[in-house]
Amino acid sequence: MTQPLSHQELLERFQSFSHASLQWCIAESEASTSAVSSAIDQLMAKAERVSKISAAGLVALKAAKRTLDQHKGPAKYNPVAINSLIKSLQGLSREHEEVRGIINPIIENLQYQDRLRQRLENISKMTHYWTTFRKPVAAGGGAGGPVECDFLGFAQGLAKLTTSVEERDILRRHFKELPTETRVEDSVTLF
Amino acid sequence: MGDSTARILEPAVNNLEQLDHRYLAVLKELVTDAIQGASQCTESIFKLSSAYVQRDAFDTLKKFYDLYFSKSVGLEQKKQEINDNVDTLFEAAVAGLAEGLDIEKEGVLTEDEATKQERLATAALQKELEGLIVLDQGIRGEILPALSSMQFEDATRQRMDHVVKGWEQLIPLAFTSQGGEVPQEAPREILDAAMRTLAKVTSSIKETEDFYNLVLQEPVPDEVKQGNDGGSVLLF
Repeated sequence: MTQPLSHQELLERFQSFSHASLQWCIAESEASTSAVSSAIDQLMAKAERVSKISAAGLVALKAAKRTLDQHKGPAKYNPVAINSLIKSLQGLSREHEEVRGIINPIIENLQYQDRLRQRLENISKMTHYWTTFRKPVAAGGGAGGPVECDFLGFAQGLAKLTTSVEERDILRRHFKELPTETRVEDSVTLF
Repeated sequence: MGDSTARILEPAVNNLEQLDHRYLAVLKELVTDAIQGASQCTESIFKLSSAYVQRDAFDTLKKFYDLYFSKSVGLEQKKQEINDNVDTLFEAAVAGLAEGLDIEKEGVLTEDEATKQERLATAALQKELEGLIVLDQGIRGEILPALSSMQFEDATRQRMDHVVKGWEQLIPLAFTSQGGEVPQEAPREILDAAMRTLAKVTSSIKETEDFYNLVLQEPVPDEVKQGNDGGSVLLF
């Protein structure tokens, strides 16, 4: 049996667990590019399917698989390389109609995975920011006197840790202090 | 609770409660959004798989996916309902047996019909899938990308759900009010009990290890290790 904890100590420990859970999900997300690579393998093993794909389409699919294999796994995941692959696959999809039905789900999957990884990373950073920010406020409660809480500053600090308009829209729903922003196109463009 | 003005000078407990309440609402929405992202990853793998997986195997896989990740009812809610129902049945059966009742004749086991059908349907489809895999290793290879994506989605849902539920349970313990007095931190025995309860919610081996190492800061007991089934029905 461990020594009894204070509420603050318990929160700090749970914050570590929360961070570990998010990191685990991020690593799994990065590793799941291997599912796309395996699907391409399966596809290439189907002769009747492959016969309908042009030579250029086959070359491009093999190149995509090589890139995925180079970057699959948590330690090897490279967002820049994956984004570059997405762009080249988008070009291929535009040029070769016969592979569009295969290429488009691959592009979608890579985009969704990358966006998911980003969102999980941001949640991890934001939760850490919250537990750090609340500490002096909680300590002030122990002293019994009034304590100032800068909600706008807190919301702005959270907003800096986001990478998408959708995340900031969520923040704005709960922190009306945050000003609205001019919409610009998100870095992730889905079909 | 005060309105959302930029700077509020109030007793700390009010500000803290509001800060926590608002951040937890943000966290829940962010997590829901992330889980939706995991689901979209699986859907795109299904689209890709449909280009080469044999029709029968694909239909079975898709049915299993739709049933397991039911869109009409939240997965955790559905699983919880099934688990609650099984727990209730188990408790009723134990109590009935202690009283010397014939539990089948006395109608002690009265599982809700809808829950029963759902549980049986999921189990039957899983058996069908497992049957396909055992009979044909080629099919196993074909559906593996979709299955691994489903496992990833399932595990992400579970871990994120446990994180949110944990925060939701721990934060209010800072504001336990006793007999109308100023709210204050819950007694340490209650905090300890809360940690132990959360430990029971963890499902996968890795998650349980993380919880014991980081929160309880003690080794995982053997009985917990032995009782850990991996936390998912998606084991192939």
